[in-house]
Amino acid sequence: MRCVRVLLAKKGRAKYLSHLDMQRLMMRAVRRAKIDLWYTEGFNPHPYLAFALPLPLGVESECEPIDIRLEGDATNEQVRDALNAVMPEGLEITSVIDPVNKPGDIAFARYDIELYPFDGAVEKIKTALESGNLPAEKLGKSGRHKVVKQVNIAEMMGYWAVEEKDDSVNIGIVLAAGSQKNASPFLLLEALSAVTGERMEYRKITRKGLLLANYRKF
Amino acid sequence: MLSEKLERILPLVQKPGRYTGGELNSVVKKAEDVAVRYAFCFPDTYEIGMSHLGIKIIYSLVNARADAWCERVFAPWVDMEEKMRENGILLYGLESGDPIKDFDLIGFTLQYEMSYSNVLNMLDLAGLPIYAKDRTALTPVVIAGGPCVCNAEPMADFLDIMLPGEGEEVTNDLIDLLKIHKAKGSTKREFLLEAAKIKGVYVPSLYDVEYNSDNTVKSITPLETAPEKVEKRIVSKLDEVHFPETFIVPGVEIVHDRTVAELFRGCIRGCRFCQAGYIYRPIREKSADTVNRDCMAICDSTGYDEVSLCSLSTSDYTQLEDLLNKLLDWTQKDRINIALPSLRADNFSKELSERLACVRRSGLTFAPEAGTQRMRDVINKNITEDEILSAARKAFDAGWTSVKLYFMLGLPTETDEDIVAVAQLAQKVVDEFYRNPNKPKGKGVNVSISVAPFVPKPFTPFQWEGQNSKEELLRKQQLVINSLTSRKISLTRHNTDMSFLEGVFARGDRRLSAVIETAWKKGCKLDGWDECFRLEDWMQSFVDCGIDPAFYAQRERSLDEILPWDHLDYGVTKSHLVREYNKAHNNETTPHCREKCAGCGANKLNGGECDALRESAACQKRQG
Repeated sequence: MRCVRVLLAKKGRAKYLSHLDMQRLMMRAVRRAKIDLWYTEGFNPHPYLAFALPLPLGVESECEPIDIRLEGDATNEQVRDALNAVMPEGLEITSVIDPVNKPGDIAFARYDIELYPFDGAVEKIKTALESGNLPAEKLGKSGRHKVVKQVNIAEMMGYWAVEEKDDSVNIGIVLAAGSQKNASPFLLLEALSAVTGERMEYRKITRKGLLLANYRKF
Repeated sequence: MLSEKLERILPLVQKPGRYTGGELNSVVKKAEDVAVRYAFCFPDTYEIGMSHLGIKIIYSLVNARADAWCERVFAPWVDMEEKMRENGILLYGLESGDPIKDFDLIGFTLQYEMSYSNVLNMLDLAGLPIYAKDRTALTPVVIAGGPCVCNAEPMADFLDIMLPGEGEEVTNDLIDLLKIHKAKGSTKREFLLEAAKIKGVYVPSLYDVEYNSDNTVKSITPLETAPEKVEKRIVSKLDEVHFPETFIVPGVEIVHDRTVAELFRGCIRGCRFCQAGYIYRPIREKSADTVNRDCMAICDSTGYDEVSLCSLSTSDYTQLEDLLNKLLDWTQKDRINIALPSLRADNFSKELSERLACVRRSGLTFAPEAGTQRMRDVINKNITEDEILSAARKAFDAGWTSVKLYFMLGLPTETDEDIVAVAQLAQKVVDEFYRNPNKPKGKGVNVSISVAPFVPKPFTPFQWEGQNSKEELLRKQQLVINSLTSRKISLTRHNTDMSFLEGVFARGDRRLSAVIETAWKKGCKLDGWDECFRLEDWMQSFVDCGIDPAFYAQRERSLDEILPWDHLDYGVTKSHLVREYNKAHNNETTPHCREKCAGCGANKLNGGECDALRESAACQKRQG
């Protein structure tokens, strides 16, 4: 048995598939590709296939890591090609690598957010991002109960840039990601919307990459 | 590619993956390369529609033609419909994103009566007039198929064509004809007059229906080219019929997300309440080789890890043993599960249960349908209490701890004794579990019983019966509850309001079109969903239209009354249905078709051929 990390790009209408949809979809793709899978040895044997970090529905991505356990001696390139031959529209395996870091090491994610423009957008967004105070309500759990938590997105951000381009406003931003602290780009938009009083309608959001705590590439 | 208009609303709706298309194995062609564009509409949500085998067959069949392109269309959920209407987005085909009002054929499948309002809503969302007479251009031609078409008279005014019977051949015939008429620039009427000459094509506007003063049908008169009786179309040899080599693999989860293969059409059993058992006759089997090949090809190209074998009564498939051997050959290696729905309690064998157990243990369901032997004889279920209990015993012996039992309430001649017996039978199944010395240790048993109101359907021996009133059904449901003696038994009840409406439309006539239109205008849609079903609006619509729904649902018809579906011929003769009706009222059973041919008449559709007939003759020869 060996573990490989599949890096998946998710583009176009495939972005409307949820995390659960993607797990089912990848399992089927792996079966179609006739990849020799390792199965758990319990009462109900099943393959091991794990997404490192859920991607919010509606967000495109260039880099979704999925760890899969394999049998046999297929090379990483063979696994990539076999999968790409059977992937549905919008989903492409960019590479298959031997995992170095653990999914738990993910600390940040970098996003490109393309917004429909509005008057004074760049200035308003910059001011809000610089303010250090971007309150948002996050649905969380306390034990078994669902609770609403107050968070400050400004404390969950890394570097960022805002620019106006053609007929859109682009925000490039690093947000906390992972099982400890996680801020989705939608939460950021909600917070920006509350602070600026403007409707933040996005044309496209792309997850560009996942980062470790030291901002190095995952 | 999705339009920007659509992209802007998708983030605002639930499960947007239902509205995007682009799934694996969906077929995209160039619009300019095809002569006929076909929108296959399933009048319910994506999750329901994508689970339906018929849409997969027709989709693959039409797309196998170079000159036609079939796309899928489903009813949007409430939130999506609202956004579409707000933003002026017309109902579109999932493959191209083009509005279906510009297509040549719009085909609905009518699987259940509660989807009728969705058909109107979808036509309206497409930007088309709901009434056939108001759609004056040649295209789109709005057609409908599916089991309800055996009496979709309440929908007659909205549809241009209905297709009684099996769709494979007639769909191709219709596309061929439309292609010619499009090229000729014919009028819609010219096309319909020619279409009516095709076997299995029913053009409702070519029939004149008159009514008596007591509201019963006085006469149904064919006009011009329309035949006196429209005979349903069947496919003669199932091994040669088109079956998809692959399925579309949806991204979002659907109800039946697996490989499905068909074992046979028709049924040998002749249960008198069962419409499917009558309208799909005569019985025709697929060979085990064909089914095995179908399953293998679909699993291979989809990555599905479950195969479901589809028929009206799986254990009546004569080649089941052979097929399971062939399937297990490769499914076990590939870790694929086999699901066998629709098993009968009387031929559920130990071998079969072991076979299933070595694949995967899912729930087991049996359908005694009624509590007493007398009641089961009336409905011709032909199953004894001993057989039910012995099947349960075998199941428990093989390690199952939960069993589902299906029953009906409100059957003809039913008494309170029959209803109490439902609970008693469930109790006997529970007792059977505790009597079993091999029962799994530390586990209890769960017997869940489901009681559904009986709805009399056209083309069954009970087509003349009255349906129980809602009050009566509620009383009977309560009686079952009060008779339950164990907490090991759980009960599921079906919505009696829905069954009532189903009963009205199942045996309705053309005057109900106005009621459907009125209810739809009041906002009724997605009626099969509890959260959308609005009985008050439906009841008010009956009042508004001056129609008494009880006339259709509760009234017992006389055997000589002209029925609204008398101009359709599903093979089974009326005299056979009358015979069965009389036997039912004398508590008499009819043996199944392989034991003895009951002369239903459906074999005439297949040139006198019937798989069961051949076997029953051979069986009698052996005995004689």
